[in-house]
Amino acid sequence: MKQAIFILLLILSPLSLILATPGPDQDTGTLKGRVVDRETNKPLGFVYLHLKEINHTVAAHADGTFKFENVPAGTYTLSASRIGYQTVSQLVTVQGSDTTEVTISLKASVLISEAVEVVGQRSHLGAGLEDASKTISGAELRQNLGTTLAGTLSEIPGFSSRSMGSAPSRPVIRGLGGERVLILQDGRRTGDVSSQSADHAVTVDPVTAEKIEIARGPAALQYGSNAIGGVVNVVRNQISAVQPDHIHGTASLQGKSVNTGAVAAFEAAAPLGKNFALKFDANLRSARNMQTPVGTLTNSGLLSSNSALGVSYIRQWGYAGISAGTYFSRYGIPPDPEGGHEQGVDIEMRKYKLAGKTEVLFDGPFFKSLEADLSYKNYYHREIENSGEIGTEYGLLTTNLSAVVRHEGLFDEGKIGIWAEAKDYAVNGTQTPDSKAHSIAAFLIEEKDFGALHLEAGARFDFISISPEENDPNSSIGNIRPRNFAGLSTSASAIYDFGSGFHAGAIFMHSFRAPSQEELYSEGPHLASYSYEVGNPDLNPERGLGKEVFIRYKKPTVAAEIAVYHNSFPNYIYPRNTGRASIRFPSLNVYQFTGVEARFRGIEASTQLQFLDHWAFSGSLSYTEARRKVTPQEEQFGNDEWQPLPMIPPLKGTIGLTYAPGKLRLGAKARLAAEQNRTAEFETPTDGYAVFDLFAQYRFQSGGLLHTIALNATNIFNTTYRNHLSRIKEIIPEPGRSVSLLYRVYF
Amino acid sequence: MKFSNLFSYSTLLFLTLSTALMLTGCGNPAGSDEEEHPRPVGIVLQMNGAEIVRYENQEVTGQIEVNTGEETALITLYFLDENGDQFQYDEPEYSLRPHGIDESIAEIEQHAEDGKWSFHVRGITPGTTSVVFELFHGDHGDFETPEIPVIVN
Repeated sequence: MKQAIFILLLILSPLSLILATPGPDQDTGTLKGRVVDRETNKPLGFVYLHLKEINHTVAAHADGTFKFENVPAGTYTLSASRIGYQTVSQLVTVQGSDTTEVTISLKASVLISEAVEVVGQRSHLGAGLEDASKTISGAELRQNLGTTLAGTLSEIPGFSSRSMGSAPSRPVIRGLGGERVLILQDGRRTGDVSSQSADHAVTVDPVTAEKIEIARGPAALQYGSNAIGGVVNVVRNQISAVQPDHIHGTASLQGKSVNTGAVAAFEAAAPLGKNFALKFDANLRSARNMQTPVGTLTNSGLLSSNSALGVSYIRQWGYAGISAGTYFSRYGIPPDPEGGHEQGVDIEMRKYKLAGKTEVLFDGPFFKSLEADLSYKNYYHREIENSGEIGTEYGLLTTNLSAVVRHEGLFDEGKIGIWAEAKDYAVNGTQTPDSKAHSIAAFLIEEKDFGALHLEAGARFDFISISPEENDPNSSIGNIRPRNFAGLSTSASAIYDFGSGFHAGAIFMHSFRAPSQEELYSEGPHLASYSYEVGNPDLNPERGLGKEVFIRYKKPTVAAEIAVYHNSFPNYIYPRNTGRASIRFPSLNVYQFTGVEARFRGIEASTQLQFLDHWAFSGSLSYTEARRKVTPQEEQFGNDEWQPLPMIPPLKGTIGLTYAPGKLRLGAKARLAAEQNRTAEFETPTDGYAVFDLFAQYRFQSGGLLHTIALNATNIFNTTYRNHLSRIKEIIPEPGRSVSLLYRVYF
Repeated sequence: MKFSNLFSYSTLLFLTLSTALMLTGCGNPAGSDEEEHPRPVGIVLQMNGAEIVRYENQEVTGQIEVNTGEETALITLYFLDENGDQFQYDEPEYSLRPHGIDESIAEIEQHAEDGKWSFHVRGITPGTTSVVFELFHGDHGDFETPEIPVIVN
């Protein structure tokens, strides 16, 4: 009954909003223009132009021309980005029922960071172009493109990769992982179980990503109350918001020597008649066992494919579209000779997804648009032992709804929205009961500039109801029963523009995270992660208090940032290795989900500096310290009051040098890490390392195509090093010397 | 854009999606409707009515002994529940999988007529090895013992 009511609410919520909407014709205009090279004044094609406020993107033709149609009258931030050039942002004003023309000139740049050149005069001095978010795209994305999303992001300051072989890895931000880092695709939750265990892969392949956005602070509240680590949004735009005026897209081929890996990917957008747009993407990836300096990592191959098709109907009032997609993967978990499984485990994964999205534009003085999104994900994976027998099966059916109204008038701009989720979770092969979770939330995020001060603030209220299939008051893990949780999460950020490229800011976040179904009810062997997991039905919600201050300096030839942060949790929930063998599976240690008082603190710094026209130096540094407060019993045994938490990255950094004369980009990079000896109980320390990489990128245009080639040589000295966040670090080190070649053509 | 068009397109979209959602969202592919059964936390092995091995409270006592070239009498495995009571499963989906034994030293022999919880151990060559007994439920393991010593004299 509860589920029926919930589904009814899911259906009625967007309809009621749409029904309540008057439908006058929009006062819209056209924004068109041309992009040129600032030095040669020649037209530049393959430029991605983005209207920030309405999140619309178009690609410029090979002759540099572009056009946005049906743009509601107003002032927008238009950004233009292209490989090899510095991104430009400028304000443009679109008149209703009129055509606004702009010419944008881009300057070639050696820097690959998101350093943004701001042109034109803003109506105020506010730092509105600076926020707590970061975007990875273009050359930076191609240079760091890895097999997994986590691998692709792992060199961003503060980012690490929790891994278990080639395929399963997930980003960890400032030592925070699992559900504290929300992974989205096109703003939607992925509907997989990657947050719960190191052996579960993220069901998003980075190879077809147009860009990857990372949000912290108030902007993250739109997607969840728990993302104190951050939100990682992989943008594929599977439902196009604008009518493309030509067929455009990319095709990619990548090969990698360390695992004889190969990937082929294709994505394209095309107009279908006057009012429809088609979006298609697909990729196929394969890899054999990974090579390391000490030998082959057995059973670490993978085979996966990821595809989606989307159709949009675009009119003057906005657009509506649907998309369908699949994700299939089979990968190996390497064997653990000392426990768990001697021969390794294979994981077969499949996901089907269906999504619908609509955006209706208003031209009233207050409400500007309504965006509604409904998605359904059907996820299943099974863990197959060497004998062919199935160890564990996981099934997760996820339905999400969100409706967001963008407005102006109250403050400069803001969003008001509702969000709902239904999760049907089942595990076979353990004692974990099947369970359902229903969540509903409302949020408000506002932005306001006061002169040079840019403020953002947000609040979100969540209610979560979790119900096991059957109550079991006498279960061996405790009283298994339904649980309800409700909580308010808040966030605020302030960024002050000191002028001359200097900004300083602070971010505050008070997060709320209800215990997950697996944290509450798990009980059973999980061979692939070498653990026997035991939940705790009495767990209380996890609340976090995050504070951060940062200083940024951005100029066309230099970018630098330093940030200091402190996150504290009165009840940090994690699977604690008890060191005890399971009674029912003595080869596996018991991992008990528990809540402890914890604190995370650290510092990040990064810089890019252009010198001698074609040279650039880059460097970054990250440090996180995370500890938990010991229990009174532990204190009696003389333990210090605060003990290290497990799986916390060491002090690490990168140093790089780039030479970019024209269309060629050459570089060298060192990845450095200190030893990590702040280890939790039963955790192995790891040594420091220095690993060296080389890269070369070249681009050229012929006919109507832009060709890009990226050659990367990683770990060129075949150094033996270990990732402290790898669950198999005791068994095998990280990959050895490798050469990868990526060819991508833009059409 | 007329309001009626807006209504019809959006309604069509969401009704289509909602219908698909309800149709496809009926069953979880990993869901199960299993009955409740007692859960083992230990085992005993009995031979000729006498207990020769016990695994309880994470401790193994006893061992399986056999002479080279000979076969033990029938050994029967009983599971122990949380109260220490012995039980066996009658349902056909449960089975016993011994593994990990060094077959150059000893072999496990199971005969259908002895029942699925009974077996013999045959000594091949003098030496020491061990065996792990795993309770299989359908296609996955529900319980396993630590290594139980097997000595061939």
